Amino acid sequence: MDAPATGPNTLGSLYDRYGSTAYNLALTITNDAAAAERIVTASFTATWREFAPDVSAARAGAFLTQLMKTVRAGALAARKPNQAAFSPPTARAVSSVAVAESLSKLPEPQLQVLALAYFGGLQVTDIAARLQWPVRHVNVNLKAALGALRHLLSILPGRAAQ
Amino acid sequence: MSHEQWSGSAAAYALGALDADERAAFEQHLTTCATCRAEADELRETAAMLAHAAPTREVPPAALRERVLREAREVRPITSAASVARRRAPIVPWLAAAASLTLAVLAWSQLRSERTQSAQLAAALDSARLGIAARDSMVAAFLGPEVHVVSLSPPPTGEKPSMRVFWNHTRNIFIVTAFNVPPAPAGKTYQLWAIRNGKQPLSMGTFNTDASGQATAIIAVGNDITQGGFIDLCALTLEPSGGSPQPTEQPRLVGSWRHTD
Repeated sequence: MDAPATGPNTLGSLYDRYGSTAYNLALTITNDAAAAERIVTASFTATWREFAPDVSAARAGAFLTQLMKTVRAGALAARKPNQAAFSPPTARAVSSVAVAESLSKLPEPQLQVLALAYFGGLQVTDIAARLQWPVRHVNVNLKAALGALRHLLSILPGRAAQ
Repeated sequence: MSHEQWSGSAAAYALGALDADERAAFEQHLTTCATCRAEADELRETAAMLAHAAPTREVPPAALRERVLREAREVRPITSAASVARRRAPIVPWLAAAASLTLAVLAWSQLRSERTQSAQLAAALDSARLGIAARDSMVAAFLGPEVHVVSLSPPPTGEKPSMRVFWNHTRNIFIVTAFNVPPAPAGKTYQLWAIRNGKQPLSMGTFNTDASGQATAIIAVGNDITQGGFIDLCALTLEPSGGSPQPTEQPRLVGSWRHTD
């Protein structure tokens, strides 16, 4: 559901736009539907209280950024210690066309480090150990991946969910 | 470390992939490097877009929407997703805020039952909402990786007085909590100082404690405090009312900064 071009967003309209993405992000990381519901509820509540009542169309992007940051942090914290090794989602199975198209253009090593860092919550040194790469190589690929993603999202039509 | 080396860590920082020491070092660099700060902000925005790369595994339960809307309307302390996930984690630092909010809610509930006092109820409700909004705003400022904290303690001979100062360097505010710090005598005030190695102390602001020795204060600070590089120490002195340009006594409490997580 699209938000109005101007004027404030209601919490309901923000949930309608971002709820599914937030829920699936939490579910992807935790693999636990109950935890995902709890995390989404708490994240929307906390983010809404930080932004309300001024969640104008101009601030919707900042709301989205803060919301997803909170969801991801909560989901990474809620993962069970013995959770199976994380499998990065592929670029073909994503929920946003613009992000999917952008990710599909990235080289495989960049996709891999991005997924391990973002969805896996791994630190650079952990990624280096897992892939048996030098730490610097991980950093270079992370920066190249995010830089390319930013560029691609800026030039592709229908930029995701902003 | 060269600028290029710092810049090389910007993406890992944006993705939360640096360990605590590396992140602290990088954030210290950010306080002095506008280029890296802008780059980190941009990369953080881009990293947030990765949320859309999560596979659409399920449609959220229909009841979740109502639950989100209901919880957001409820009067209760702000709760982050991380704190929900770690529900059994120690929450001592939040007890004071939680207790205060609970009292406000109880007071509101009691008033509501006395229907004859509807005007008083409306006023109390408005007051509670304002108080809770202020508390929520304060608690929200505690959250996030951009927050540093310092605990100030007395010299080894003393024990009781203590303070914590939270520094949210993206909002340029300090949040001060004090316990067992006797109220300043008439004509005096407590003053906080930011100290960088080898430089003169900079005043962060003044405050006073109540009769019970407690204080919670939000201090907005200028660029001289936030943009002059990482602050090494925080100190408390007792000064004449209005504060002093430089400390006039040895610090009563002092502490060094660290990250909250």
